Amino acid sequence: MEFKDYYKILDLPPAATQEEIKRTYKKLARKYHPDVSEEADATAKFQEVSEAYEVLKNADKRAEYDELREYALNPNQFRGAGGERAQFDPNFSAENGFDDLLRSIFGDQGGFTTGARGFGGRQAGSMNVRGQDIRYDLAITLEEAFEGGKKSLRLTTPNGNKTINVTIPKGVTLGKELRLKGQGEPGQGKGSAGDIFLKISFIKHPLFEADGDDVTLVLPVAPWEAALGTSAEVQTLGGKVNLKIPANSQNGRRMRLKGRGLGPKDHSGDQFVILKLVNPPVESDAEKAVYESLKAAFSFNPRETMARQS
Amino acid sequence: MSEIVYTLIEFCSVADVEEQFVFELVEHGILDPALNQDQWLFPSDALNRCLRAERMQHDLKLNLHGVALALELSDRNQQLRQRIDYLEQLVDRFRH
Repeated sequence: MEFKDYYKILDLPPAATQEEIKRTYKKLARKYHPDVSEEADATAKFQEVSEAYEVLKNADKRAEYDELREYALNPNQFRGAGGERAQFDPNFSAENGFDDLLRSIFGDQGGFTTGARGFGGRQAGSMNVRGQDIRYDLAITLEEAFEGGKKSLRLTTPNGNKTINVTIPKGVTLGKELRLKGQGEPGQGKGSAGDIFLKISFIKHPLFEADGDDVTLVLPVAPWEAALGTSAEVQTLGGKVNLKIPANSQNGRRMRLKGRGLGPKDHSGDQFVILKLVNPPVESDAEKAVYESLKAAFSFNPRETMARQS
Repeated sequence: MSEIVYTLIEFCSVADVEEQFVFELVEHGILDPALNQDQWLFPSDALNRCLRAERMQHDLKLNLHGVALALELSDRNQQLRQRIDYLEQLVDRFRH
């Protein structure tokens, strides 16, 4: 095992007191605990920090580690126990010494590993240990979420590749977890196998944004459509529908298509349509003339409310 | 797959936890099972919540009041993050 600088991991000087080490560990454990952290590599960071603390919290182990560290950082200066050992034992290296130290603390795995369950290692007393759960992100399209149905997945697990069939529940929403019982890591002894958890995420859709059970579509409209009203063909996850746009609609107007969203019970969510007024580019003289006549016909100041407030 | 519910005994067996621990989680409002004819029914989401609570209690040395608070804040945080993502995407679609 490669030598690790635990002080660097905890961002502490080597002279830190036991109290400082404890305080820093607690702070970092809260920061990186995978159940609360939003850091990308929280699990790995948490394990690293936990391992550092397991070694440094005990004064004897810490002293032993400090000597190894000294030796690892300055292998040519034969000082301390590591140096003496090195003088008598030609096979001595900081790495070997480090391995021995880890083994004395963590047992044969020679380092901190996640235990049967907790990220921090719930070491089971007996030999019957439930297998580890495996977690994956499952990115699906909004159409797949809307329709539900079966999907075949190829997963890379620590024990090789594996093809599994998943049923995506109709109307499944972002962040939901699907559980595949007993498909995780095998247990030890009489311990049952762990589970696979698939966390639903959505592939970016060209038209829709999901918001819990609801979906939103931004619908571009021309100024005259918004002013005079019209009927527009609008896409929904379940096909096209006609939407009546009332006269005098403003930019940003939000309309609801009931029951056209996601949601576990027959699409209990809705689709919202938000109007986005798009101005056509004005180029020809005829087009410019139309705007000139608009200007003449309206006595309209779009900044009226601003003027009143200043 | 999403409609699975567990009785207390089933729940303890799949989560591999003691009944007493589940009682305490319910008492602290960390789990909120439905009640059907005097019997608790746990939705499958409760499983993940129970395991998270167990890990937090063990790894962060929190008592269950602390676990309840941490879970609540972290859930709210996640909801807010999703909401921000949604609104950012919407603003983006409005701009382009």
